[in-house]
Amino acid sequence: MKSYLFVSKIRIQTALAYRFNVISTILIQCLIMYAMSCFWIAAYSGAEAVSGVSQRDMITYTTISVIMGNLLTMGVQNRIAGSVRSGSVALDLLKPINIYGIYLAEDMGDCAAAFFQKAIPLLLVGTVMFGFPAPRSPVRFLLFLFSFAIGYLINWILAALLGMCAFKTLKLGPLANAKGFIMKLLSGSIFPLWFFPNGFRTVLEFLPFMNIYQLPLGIYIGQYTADEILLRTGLQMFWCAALWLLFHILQKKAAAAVLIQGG
Amino acid sequence: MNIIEVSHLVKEYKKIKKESGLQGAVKNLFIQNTESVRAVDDISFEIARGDIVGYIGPNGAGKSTTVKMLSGIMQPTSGEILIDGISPQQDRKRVVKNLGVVFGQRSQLNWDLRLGETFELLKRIYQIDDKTYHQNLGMLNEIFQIDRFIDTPVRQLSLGQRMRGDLVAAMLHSPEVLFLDEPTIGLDVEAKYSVRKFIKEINQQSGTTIILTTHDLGDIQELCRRVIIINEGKIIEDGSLDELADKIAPCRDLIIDFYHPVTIPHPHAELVSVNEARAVYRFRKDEITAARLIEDISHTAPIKEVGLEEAKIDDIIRTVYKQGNSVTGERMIDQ
Amino acid sequence: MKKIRYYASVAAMFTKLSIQSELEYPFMLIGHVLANSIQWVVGFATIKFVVDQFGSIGGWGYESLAFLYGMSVLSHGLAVVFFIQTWYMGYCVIEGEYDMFLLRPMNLLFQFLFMDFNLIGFTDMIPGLIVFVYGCMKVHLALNFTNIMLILFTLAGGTLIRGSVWLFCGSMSFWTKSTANFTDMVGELFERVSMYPITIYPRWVQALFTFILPLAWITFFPVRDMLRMEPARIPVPLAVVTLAVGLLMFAGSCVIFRLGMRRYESAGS
Repeated sequence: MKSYLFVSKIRIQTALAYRFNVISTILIQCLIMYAMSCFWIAAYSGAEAVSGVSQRDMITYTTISVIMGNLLTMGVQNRIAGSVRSGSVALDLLKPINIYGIYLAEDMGDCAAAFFQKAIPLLLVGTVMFGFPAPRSPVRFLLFLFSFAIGYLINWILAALLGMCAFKTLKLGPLANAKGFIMKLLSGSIFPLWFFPNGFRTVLEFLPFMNIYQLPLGIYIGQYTADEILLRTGLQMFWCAALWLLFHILQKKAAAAVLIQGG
Repeated sequence: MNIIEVSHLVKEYKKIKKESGLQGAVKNLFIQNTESVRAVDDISFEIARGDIVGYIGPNGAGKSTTVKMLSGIMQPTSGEILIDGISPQQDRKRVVKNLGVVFGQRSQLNWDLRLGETFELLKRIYQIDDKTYHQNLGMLNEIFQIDRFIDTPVRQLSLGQRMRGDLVAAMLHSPEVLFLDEPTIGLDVEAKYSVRKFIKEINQQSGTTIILTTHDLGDIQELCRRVIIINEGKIIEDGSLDELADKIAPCRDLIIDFYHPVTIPHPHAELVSVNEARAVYRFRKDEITAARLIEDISHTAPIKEVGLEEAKIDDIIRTVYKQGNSVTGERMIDQ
Repeated sequence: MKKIRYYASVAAMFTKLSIQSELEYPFMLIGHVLANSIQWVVGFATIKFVVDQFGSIGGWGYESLAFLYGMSVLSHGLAVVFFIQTWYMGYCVIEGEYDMFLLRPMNLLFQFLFMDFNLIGFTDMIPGLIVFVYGCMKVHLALNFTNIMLILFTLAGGTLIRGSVWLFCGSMSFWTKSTANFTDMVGELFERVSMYPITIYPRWVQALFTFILPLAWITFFPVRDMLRMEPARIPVPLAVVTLAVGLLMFAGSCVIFRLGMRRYESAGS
């Protein structure tokens, strides 16, 4: 455990070293956050509520979504693909430590750095521009944190699974792009699914993607009733477990294949 | 006539001094300290047209930095470089037209294409006319037999084949000067042999001036008429290998096997060891020749067999590197 | 003249070779066609759904939004074709890839821009073209000579504006020496200002995107002009202004690139 923590700490340090990157990221993200909020204001143009959501809720949703987007960046995908391509994967598997644990620790380190570097400044700017994006209630906030944590894991496992594709294809190229688009559009990170037509929406709600953005955000702004939260969190945890199992099996298989071929 | 003239070349790097630890990382966010490091420290030399020069030194001595400045990739902090009378810093395009560069660690060949296609591209870039192109390719092919793999995608070539491809690519536009940065690194015996043969023949046939950096002293021994040794950014030796050997290791060992155990002293040689019927004499080349020594000794006792041991080049170079270190060590104490 | 012919022949060879090397991986190509189609179809569907819910966005109805979207996707595709190298500038700086350019007797920016002609970018154009034609039909745009010229001007200008911003951002890695790339974030920003009318933003943001970070010219101004949604304020078609803005920004980015290369030469890799 200590070695994983050390990896996280190193990552925080490296992230801090890139001053310019941090400042420009915050600037661009602020612009994006502002632009998205303006979009919703224009779309509502004074309407009270659309699909049961008010304009104020949508601005909160957008602000928190942009912040989440900065916390959910995943290095694991390219790390796995990179180590497969360079052949260092065989060495990694020989280390007396779980390499995927290291990757997770690295990403958590990045996440922690992003929290201080990006999330807090963005929250401040968001508050100045449109008022504090408050959660519906303290309880909802705690539920949001829990839901976000599970969503984080789902997102991480999906990225790791995609990275594992490199064992077959070597380059991720279009796969990574496709995943990016799907995540962006079907997870509710920009447009919540409740604005989509019913049939489409029902399908999307059974896929794992909405559990990453929309579910935590929906809980945050109070879009779901207590029963719904229970049901949806159950489904979310199911997805997390199922994906983890899939990842576990594939990873064992890949490791065996690598060790037999010798890299 | 000198084709390369380097005078008082200096390259300084700015290195950001980072403080360690998480606290340091936060601090570095606001304040950054830099320190400058001299990778190349006031170097001057000339190279005559048609020469093959070995440019050697331990890791981090400043070899690659020098080659990069000579080829116009890097701007010197101060000093002047003239290649065939032109400064690469002032007229890069004109200089590189007359320059071939090969980095052993990096290839300029396109990974996904056939070897021949990269050559076609270079033909356009260097505006090589058809006649010269085919002539050059023909000549290079004679040395290297690249037509056996010219239609293979580069990613499928072996390291040795790729290096041959890179060497041919660098010579297609018949440059007068060729820089080779560790051209034999990682190659097997056969490939090494053929790279050395290539360098020799190119030099003889086209009169190409070649600067070679390497860690393989076999390359130097076989190819270079002159070696420049650099350490910690300064030239510490410059001359032919023989001169260097004479200077660093002026003694040779003569091993004599007699028919019986005997001990015969000689005024110009030191008897290093006597082991049964074998005696080892150490003598200075400038004092006496081996032939003379053998003759003298054979007057006293019949000789069965003789052997002569030269100082090993590896040992010589190692001695030079060490001396270089101690020189700079002293200088540091002075400051 | 001779120089132009020389550069053109090298550019043709670069293009031929990069297409050839991309065809080495046909599945990659197919994968990109699929991935990009998914992106633009889903993106387009999202606009439709949102308009269905909200009626209009910033006074723009579904038809004109579809046209705006098509135009945006097209110039994005073109920018990807010609400027994709700018996405990897951080790696190139760290790995010392620019050494090779410096060793060849040609203009550096030319080598950099033409070295990697990106066939894959055209896969963006296929769904883009479909959406664009659909949008043209929806707004009943007459495909006469004037309009075609206006469209071409807009596309050329929009491509240059996008490419210049990428080149500018990529050139930053000459100074930062990091591989971080802002492509995703800048792409998001492009989307925000080129797929929706900028009238949804407050005045100061509109001014920002018009004069300081002139992204509104990528699609918004020329399209609004073409659709005659507002009376013309200046006697030149705004598509021409778009091209001018594009050229100006490109010139600026080239200067930054040159400065960056100078920095690269003095620092090494």
